Amino acid sequence: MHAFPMPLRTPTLAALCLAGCTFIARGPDQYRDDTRALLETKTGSIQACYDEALKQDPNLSGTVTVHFKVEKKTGIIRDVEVDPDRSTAPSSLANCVAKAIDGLQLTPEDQRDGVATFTWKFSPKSG
Amino acid sequence: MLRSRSLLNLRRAARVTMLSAVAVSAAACGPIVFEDSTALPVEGTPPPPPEPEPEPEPPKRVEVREDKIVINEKIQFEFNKARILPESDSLLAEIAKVIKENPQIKKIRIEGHASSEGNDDYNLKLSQKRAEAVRKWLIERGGIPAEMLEAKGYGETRPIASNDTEEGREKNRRVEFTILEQEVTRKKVEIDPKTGEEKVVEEEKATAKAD
Repeated sequence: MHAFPMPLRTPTLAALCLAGCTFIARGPDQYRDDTRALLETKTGSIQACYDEALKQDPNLSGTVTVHFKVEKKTGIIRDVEVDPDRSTAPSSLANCVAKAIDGLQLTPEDQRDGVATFTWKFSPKSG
Repeated sequence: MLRSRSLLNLRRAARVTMLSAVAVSAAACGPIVFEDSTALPVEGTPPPPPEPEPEPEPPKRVEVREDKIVINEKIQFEFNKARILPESDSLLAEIAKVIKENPQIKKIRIEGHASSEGNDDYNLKLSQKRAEAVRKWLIERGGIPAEMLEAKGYGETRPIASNDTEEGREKNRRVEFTILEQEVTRKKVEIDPKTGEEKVVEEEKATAKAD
């Protein structure tokens, strides 16, 4: 018994594999650094989230930790979830952060999904 | 026979190689889990502290309202006499200032009123004397023309509060200023339909007299 149907001969398998793996293959450190750089493009929006929250509480500080997936082959950030156990900021701020990064796209796309955890630390400007 | 075995072996070897390649490829396509060890710092700008509410203006002591000059403080007299106490000098000076600042006012009646305490005639005379004392002060010290001012005592005939309580009686002991004559300006304006601006087309000055 063959592991693959008869039509899938060796040249076909090789072609499929190549087709499936033509994207960049980052190592974990590179994947993290590139994703961080992508997230930093949204610092302005996230700062706006924070400034809005500061209107309610001028002394507000804290952290927001989110988990998300960087989808392979598209690079799109999906399934953004706030980790309530590791977040100390109010949920309104955390949800605003999650919304700000949802849908960002990492380029070039990676051949593998990235399962990421990032934390933002919020503190009011001193002085 | 030998040839067909060799071919079979070659095929098997090729299949194993390809399966290994697929396995390696599958592993290479698995997810990468990573977490940033340092948090992304975000510094916020707290809103500026709210501007302090402007202090409400203290109520004016003297105001011109239609046909009255209203004083929100009482002119103090010596007990049972028509002598104005010195602590009321600044109030009277302010009344004189307001009269001068309102040149449309032509004639004022200074009205003295008393509570129902005591004799009616006595109260009438006292309120008259007190009204005259105020008139004198405004002429001599306030610089108001004498012909602008007249004084009248009403005694206890025009109470504004109950005479059954001390609080009411205190309110009834008072001096009022009624504007008898003042110049009013009637303006007829038209609004320009293009600019929306008002334009005075007729202006008429008249003297309004109180009853």
